[in-house]
Amino acid sequence: MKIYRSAVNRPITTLMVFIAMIGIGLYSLRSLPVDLYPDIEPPIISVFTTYPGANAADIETNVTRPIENNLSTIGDLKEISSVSRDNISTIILEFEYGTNLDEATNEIRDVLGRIIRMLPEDVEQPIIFKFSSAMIPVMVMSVTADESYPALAKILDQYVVNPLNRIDGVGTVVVMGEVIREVQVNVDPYKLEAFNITVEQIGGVLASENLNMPAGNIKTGQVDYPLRFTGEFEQSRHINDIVVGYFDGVPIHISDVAEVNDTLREMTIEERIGQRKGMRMVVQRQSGANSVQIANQINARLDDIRASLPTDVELDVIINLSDFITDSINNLVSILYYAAIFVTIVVLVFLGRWRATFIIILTIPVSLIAAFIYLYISGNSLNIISLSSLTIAMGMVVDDAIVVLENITRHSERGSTPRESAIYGTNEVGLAVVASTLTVVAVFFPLTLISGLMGLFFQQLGYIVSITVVVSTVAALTLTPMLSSKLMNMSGKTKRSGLGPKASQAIDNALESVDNAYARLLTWAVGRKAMVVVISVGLFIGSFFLMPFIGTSFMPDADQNVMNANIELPVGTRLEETSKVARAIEDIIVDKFPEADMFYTSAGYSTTSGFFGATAGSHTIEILMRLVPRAERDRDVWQIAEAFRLELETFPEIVEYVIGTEGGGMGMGAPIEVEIYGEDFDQTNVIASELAERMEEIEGVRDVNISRGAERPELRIVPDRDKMASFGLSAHTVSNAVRNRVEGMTATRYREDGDEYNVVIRHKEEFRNSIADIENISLRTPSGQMVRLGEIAKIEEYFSPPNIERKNRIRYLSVTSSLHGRSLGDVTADIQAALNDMDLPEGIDYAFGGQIQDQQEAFSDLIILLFLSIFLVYVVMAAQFESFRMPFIIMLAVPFAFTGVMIALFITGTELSVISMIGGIILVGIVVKNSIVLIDFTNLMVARGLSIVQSVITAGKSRLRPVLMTTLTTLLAMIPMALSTGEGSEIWAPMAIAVIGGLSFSTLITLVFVPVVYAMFGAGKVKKERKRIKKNGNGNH
Amino acid sequence: MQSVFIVYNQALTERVDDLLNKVGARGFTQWQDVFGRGTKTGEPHMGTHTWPAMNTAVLAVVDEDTARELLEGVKDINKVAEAQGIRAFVWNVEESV
Repeated sequence: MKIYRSAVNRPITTLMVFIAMIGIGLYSLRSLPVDLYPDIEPPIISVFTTYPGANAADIETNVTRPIENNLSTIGDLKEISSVSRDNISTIILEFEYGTNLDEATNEIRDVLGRIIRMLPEDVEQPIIFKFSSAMIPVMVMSVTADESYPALAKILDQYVVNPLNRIDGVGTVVVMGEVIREVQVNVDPYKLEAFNITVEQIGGVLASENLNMPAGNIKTGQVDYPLRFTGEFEQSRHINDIVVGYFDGVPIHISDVAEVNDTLREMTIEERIGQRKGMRMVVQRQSGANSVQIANQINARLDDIRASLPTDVELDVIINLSDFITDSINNLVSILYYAAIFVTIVVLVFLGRWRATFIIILTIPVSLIAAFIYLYISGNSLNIISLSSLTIAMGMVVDDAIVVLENITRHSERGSTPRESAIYGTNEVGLAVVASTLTVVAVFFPLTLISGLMGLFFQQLGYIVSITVVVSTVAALTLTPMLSSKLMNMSGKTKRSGLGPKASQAIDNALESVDNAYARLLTWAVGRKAMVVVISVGLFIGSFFLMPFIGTSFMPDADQNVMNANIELPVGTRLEETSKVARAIEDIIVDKFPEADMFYTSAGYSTTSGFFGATAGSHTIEILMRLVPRAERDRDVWQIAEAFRLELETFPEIVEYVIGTEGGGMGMGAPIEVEIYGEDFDQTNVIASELAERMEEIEGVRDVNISRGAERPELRIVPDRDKMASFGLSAHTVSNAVRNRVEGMTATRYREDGDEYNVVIRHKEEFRNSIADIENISLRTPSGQMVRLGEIAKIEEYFSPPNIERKNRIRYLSVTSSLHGRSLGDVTADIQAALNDMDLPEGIDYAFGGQIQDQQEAFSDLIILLFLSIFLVYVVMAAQFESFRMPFIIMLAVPFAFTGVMIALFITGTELSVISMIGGIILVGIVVKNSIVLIDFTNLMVARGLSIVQSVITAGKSRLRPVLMTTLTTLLAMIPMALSTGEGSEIWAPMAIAVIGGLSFSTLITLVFVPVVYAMFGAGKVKKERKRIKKNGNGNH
Repeated sequence: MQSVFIVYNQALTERVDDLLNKVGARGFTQWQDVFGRGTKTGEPHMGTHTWPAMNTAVLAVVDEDTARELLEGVKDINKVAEAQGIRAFVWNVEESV
């Protein structure tokens, strides 16, 4: 029993199946999380190893290299890179997409376990860290305060961080610029010396004094009392009274040799929001949690939280990633609605009947809702990619229903009963409908096979379009005939009454005259085949000359209302100086950038940001500006960035700066990155700075930056081994002693209200501020003598690279830059020219990284994909037409689609990006479909005995409307997308522009060029067949 | 007794079935998915891509009056749905078992 016969015979079953599907679909839709992009888990695992006290070069030789060498054998490893900095080695392992990261982690753990013994003794256990998209902040909040500032950390912890942490899905809340209370015991080294006491002694005494201890049990009568000694400091001032030793029998209290301050830890960062002192809080989500939901819940709680804070504390949201997501998604949803409306109008105009239009339009919700089920089952989200995929599918899902309904109408016009016209009408076109769906699937299904980052984006597109188109075909073969058997007015002659008699008549006449005009055009063209071919080929080739004028980029940029800047002053600048510059910049922002409705500056580096802030130092400033929505300002974010650059140029103390416009941590890396490989620091430094200079001169290049930091002044204590040995001192004791006096010794922890604060002993600041002070540090030898550091060691000033980067086990450094007003492709070409011009010494190599590399990889992937799609479409059509030649003629429409894409990109000034290329690939499926409709019918005419030329013209005239109709539905579905100017529209508009350009141009060409070529070559087989019949017929007689 | 052979576009199956019931022709033989083309007008019904339509054929052996009624009925159907194609042929039955 055929599926459409069952559908027509069992209308209730059919209806129920689809209603059930819609029900499940709507349920899925309700449960679908909303996000900007599909969940991307980067296949990156980092290994952090700390080796306290080692500088970058030591770390590289003793830690990074051995670990790298052993890790490089792990399977599926794509790239291994590392950064060695003071104290810490970071190794970044990048795997192929799709690698099982849990397995990889285990393997890494095994390797580390094996080699940890080969590393220096003081190296700490390496930490394995998996980066996840959950680390992208959901929200960044600022807190400012006046009098409450010293206690702000505690207030935040209690009233903000804890409530936020209780919200479902909130991962961590990191506080930046936190002030931390600390009990400081600042000793006077000369007094200590006079009393013959060392810092370590004080530490030992403090640790043993600050003590609670269980002391056993006492059984008295019926009760068993536990006994406890409580010796912990109850107040920090009690530390003053502790006796640290005796001098001539007189007890020496801490207050005699030191000042005890219960104060705030020395800040390494200065956070200012607006122009007030404050802190920043970064809210991260748990892996798998949904940003938008979390942000909504946080917003809901925010008022309560604000109310609980002291009055001078102000809490504000600086970045809310979910705003951009929600706006973009809402924008796309409205685009989807507009697309649906346009499609409806097209169908109504062409069919002219409400009921028919209704039946056809019904396939849109049915098939789109099926996509929601897919998204839900596969654990995806409602995001830009899935929604724009739906928009693309929108114009295609009605095609099958149109073809089926048209044939059903034809049958009923010929007098069949509704039920039978439905069954047999569907039967006749069923195969053709399935075949044309197959060609679309042949284009979209390969998208699901793309690997890598692009794959994550386009797998969804591939699946969604394939699924919706298949479902729409099923609906066209079941729901459409069922509904037409019930709903269609079968009074023999059908009337176009949908738009009222007058309008209908006018539309009819208009369509009629278009049909006739097209028939005349075809007749003319078939008579001048050579000319048509020459003009068409000329247009195609001519479009290549547009190529140089079309820029290329990786992903289109979007104005996300956020601009950030990272500014570097000369290395080694102290925080106080850095802050002054930050203040000055703040004033400029207030004066000249009224678009910024909120900004923060952060000078120095945060100790709480862990491994990630490692590139920051006391000489760095981070600035972020949140801008008012695009509609409320004249300058776009790129113009503002450019103006800000000009302002920064006026500061002579600023060495380097990088301005980003991605916002919200969604950045894809620097647009331009040139990696220079070479073992020799000096050589590569020279080349990098030469390249940087040349890049500065290239038009459109901004923020040139060299990744290897400028060499940094460093004081080294170089021990004299012989002298040290003669005093019986070891390097270990000497280095620890110096550290305890300068950096401080955490002796114990002072407890108050359940919170613990470090008690840190060290020299008073005035006794640790010069080289002489350091040389004067006195050390106690095992024999009890005192000896000065200067006697056993020399203090020398050195310059050392602050970071050593390696990739695939070769040292490298990168020169990065951003772009302004020029395309990635053009600038890359200029840089390539500059590199060719430079004389690279032996052993120095270079490669492009960053977005250039991403673009090159993505483009080559997409081009392979394009050929795969074309090949599969050919396969499907060759099978459908049982011919090698037909598919070629049909696919002649494809090149002109690309011509159209180029013209559209050129006219609109859009860059060729991954997104517009995807538009190009989609076109293969759409334009081929048009061509199939035309050629299939022409074949039919030939088979029915018409002459070739007659067939071409008849078919053209009869198929013009279906071709125009399917083209227009797709085109109009895309127009809202192309014209949209809302949030995030920059991202998807290029795809719509490409499809509109390609489709409209190729349709125009297809309608003339393809029939002409058919007339030239298409009917060979048919002619042969006719000859055979003639011959056989003669023979039989 | 006369045998009536009706061959028609399968899209008319319902109407023909109704006709057979209406005239009380209980016995008949039906062939589904048969091919054919008309002598003068009408599209071939070949079940191919070129000519996708197919026919159904019914052979009913009935008395003369019923045969008349059947022919009338076929004429009516043909009037309503000329383009679909329906033809009937009648001949005498010599013997039957």
